[in-house]
Amino acid sequence: MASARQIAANRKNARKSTGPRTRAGKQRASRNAHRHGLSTQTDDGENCEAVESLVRRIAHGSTDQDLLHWAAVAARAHLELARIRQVKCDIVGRMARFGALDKAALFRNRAAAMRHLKSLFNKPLSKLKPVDPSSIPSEAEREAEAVQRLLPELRKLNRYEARAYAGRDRALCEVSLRVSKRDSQLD
Amino acid sequence: MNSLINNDPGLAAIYEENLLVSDSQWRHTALRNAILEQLKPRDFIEHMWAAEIIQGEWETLQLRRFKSLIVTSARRPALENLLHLLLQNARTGDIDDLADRFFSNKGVRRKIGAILRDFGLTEANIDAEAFRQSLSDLAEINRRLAELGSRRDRILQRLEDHRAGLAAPTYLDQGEGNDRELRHENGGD
Repeated sequence: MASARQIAANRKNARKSTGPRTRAGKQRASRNAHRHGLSTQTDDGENCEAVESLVRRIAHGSTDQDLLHWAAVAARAHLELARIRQVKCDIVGRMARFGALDKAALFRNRAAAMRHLKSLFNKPLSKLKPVDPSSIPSEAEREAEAVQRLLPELRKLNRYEARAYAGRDRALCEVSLRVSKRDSQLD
Repeated sequence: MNSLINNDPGLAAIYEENLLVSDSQWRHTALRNAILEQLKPRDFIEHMWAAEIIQGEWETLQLRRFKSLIVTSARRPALENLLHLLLQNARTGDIDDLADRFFSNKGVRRKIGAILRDFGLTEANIDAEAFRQSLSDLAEINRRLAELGSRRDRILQRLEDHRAGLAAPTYLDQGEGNDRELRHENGGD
């Protein structure tokens, strides 16, 4: 713990600083408040409206500022949870459908891809093997394979989800506590 | 309960489901109704907890289905691996062909059955090998299943406390609840 003298010295020294001077430093400092990934809060109009609507329902008409605060925390965490779950569902669906999340680099360049396509078109049709229907995986099998391949990504998303879940859980408990206190006072 | 949810946009948003293409909407609705019938949520907070339980139970069912599909799809590479061990002098192309046709051709299946018997093995050994090859993926899924189970139990406790007016501030159980979940998620103790 810094002493009062140290704190005063720190403040005095800090006043001498005028922030980053170089272009690289300014650029780096401009990203100080940047948050990445799913923890980014989107404050667009639609989101604010959804938060307000949820707060009203969770608080159940209460005007207690403390209760409203926790209701807002729960509402934001709930929307974050919904967003993370939507992302999980989307990436599993995309992987099952396309077999990859990013553009696969199958060929070194465009010319190589064109050569491969030309060779396919020039091949006589009789040489193509008929497809065995039993070898075509079902939708469920494709999704299972997608989940298997996406396990590392899903683990990261689950970590985000657990954080949002814990935040909402705590907030809902605080709301529940205040509601029961209010109800017992009314009784 | 269906009409209550459908007529209330707030509740509909809480119970909004994220289904995969292979998921059955009918089954999801049946599960939701069965859980709501048991819990009978009384206010919005209880509806949020009920929706969380439904979400967790649905994910549990999905993951159990995926576990069995992952082991099934590992049967082909498992058979290939066994055949490589048993027929060390055979060409890789022949083994691949045998492994491919095992699942679609009865004659090949009988032939491979005979090879396995010669070495004191059965088709159950293919399943065992498939399970062994999928172990790390299954362990990952099992971790998630355990987490979902403990989350469900905790929500049921919250619901009970809420109804009895016994809700406690979470700092009292944070060390045992949420933190444990995060530690578990991070692969810790």
